[in-house]
Amino acid sequence: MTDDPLLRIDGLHVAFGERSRWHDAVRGVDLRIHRGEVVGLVGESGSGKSLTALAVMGLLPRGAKVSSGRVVFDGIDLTAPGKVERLRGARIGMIFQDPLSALNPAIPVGRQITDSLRTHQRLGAADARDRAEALFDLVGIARPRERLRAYAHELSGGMRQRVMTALAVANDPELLIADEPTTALDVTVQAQVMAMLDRVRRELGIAILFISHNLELVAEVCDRVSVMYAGRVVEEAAVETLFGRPRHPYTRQLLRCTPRLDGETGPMPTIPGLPPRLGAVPPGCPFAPRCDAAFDRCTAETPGIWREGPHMAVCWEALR
Amino acid sequence: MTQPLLELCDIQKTYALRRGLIERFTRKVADVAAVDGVSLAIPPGEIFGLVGESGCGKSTLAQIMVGLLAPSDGMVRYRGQDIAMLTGVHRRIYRRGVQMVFQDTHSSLNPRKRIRRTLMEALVARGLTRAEAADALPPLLAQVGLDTVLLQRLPHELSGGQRQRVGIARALAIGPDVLVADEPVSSLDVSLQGQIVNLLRDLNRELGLTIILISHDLAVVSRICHRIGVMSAGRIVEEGPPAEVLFAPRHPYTRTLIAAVPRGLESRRAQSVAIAEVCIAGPM
Repeated sequence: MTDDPLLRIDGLHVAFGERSRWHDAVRGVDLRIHRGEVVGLVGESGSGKSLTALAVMGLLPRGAKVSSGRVVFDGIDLTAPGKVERLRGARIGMIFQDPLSALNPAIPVGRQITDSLRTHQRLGAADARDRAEALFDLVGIARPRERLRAYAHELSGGMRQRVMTALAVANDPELLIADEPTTALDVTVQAQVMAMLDRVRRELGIAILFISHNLELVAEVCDRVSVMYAGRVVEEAAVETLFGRPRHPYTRQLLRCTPRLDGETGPMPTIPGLPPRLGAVPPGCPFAPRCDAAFDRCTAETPGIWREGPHMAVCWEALR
Repeated sequence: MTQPLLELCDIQKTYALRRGLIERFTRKVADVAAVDGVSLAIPPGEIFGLVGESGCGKSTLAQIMVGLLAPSDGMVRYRGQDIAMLTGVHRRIYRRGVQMVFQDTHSSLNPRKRIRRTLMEALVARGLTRAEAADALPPLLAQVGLDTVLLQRLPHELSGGQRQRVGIARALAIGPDVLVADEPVSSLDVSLQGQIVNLLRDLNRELGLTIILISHDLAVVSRICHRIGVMSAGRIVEEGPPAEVLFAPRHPYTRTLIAAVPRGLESRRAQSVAIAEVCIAGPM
């Protein structure tokens, strides 16, 4: 692993709005992903984790824009116009929560893969078909030759996610962005998709940015984890550290309310309240109103940064 | 044992498989059993958890329980009476008594109606006058932990958790004694799942509401249910109190479900690939 990260996000701000009224939904995210590394990005809905990923891929929805910050992929500034389009689908692959809307309903899935292979790698028809079969095999689709002829609607949710992944890794990308790839799936299918992603990573040595709201799931595949809250990374650490010694109260509370099969009964632990609304982020630490460890300084001053080697937390309580 | 409040007797639901034109003429059209002989007795005051994967028939069963679908064979009894035989006032009592909470709050709440109107309609349907209904609104909202400010809002202005609370309030407004909740938390964040699950638990304890909680997530269900039924391919393959189902599962499918719950660092060591091998192959 070289010192130069494959992907470097510096002070990324993403704003929503129109004309003069803009609100930052992502408020200064720093993130690094090295080659072959799997990094988890965790947070509740509205924490800005998906927007961060979409900003990297240049796929922000209408009404959103990168207002400041830089996204650098292997030395290329992706925020510069026209840069990201060349990398997307080639050096950066992506899979989403809803594969049905990401796959073309009118074209057999195999054709979508061979088209991509013929466009990006200039393969001939026969070579592309062989490669598509090999890809289906890699993502664990049985009877690949038959399945290549299927349409997206004929496949189950788990199968569609496998097809999406085959498509995403078809051109040997260096980075795969997986945005809640299993959230719409059953737990059993989720386990299969997670095993499939793990296999893809081991066999292709690909770096993955894995986005999810489920910490237990993130811990299964990631080397490092960044926890986001209200548009910022509030804690970052190696996965064992984050689970063993979380420093941010948000991470601790999030860990506590992740459902587990431990035989516990009675009320489930929860985080009281809701994340702040867009444009209504309270002063001081945005998590302070919901925090079980907050004290007066938390609501008054923007929290400082606590560090211990690669472990980072943005929290006054950690600094005490 | 007390008389069950809701009882399913050997419920079957089959659908004709639609084939191409030629197959339809040449071959007998095959049937698919979505529910294949389910019998269940839910005593009053119980939280019964129904667990299984998509396509196992649990949502079909839910729709049969609330009377949205008629079973192809078998009988649903509410307070001891076959619901297919109910007429007039008895039918209305059943309709009112068994209410449903849906998974997708985007499609189950009318996007153009303010929350007040959605809830008022339910209260009026229960038989209240408009004035009585208006008085009933604040305590109804308090029961599900919502602020009255939200009454003026449209569904899209609420968060997912708030919308699900509105869905529960609407069901409660009718005055049910059975709540059938079909995947009420699976589209919510983990931090919010607990809030909704705890709300259901409180309603059970405070109002004695009988709840059928349907989910694919054993971890959520095992937390608050008195009894769990594991469903696979249209049948209930295992049934019992959570502790027994979780720690002494008898059916291999239950073991598969248990193995599939994410265990973070623990399963990282155990290697997740093993799970994929034992998983039952889906329908493609």
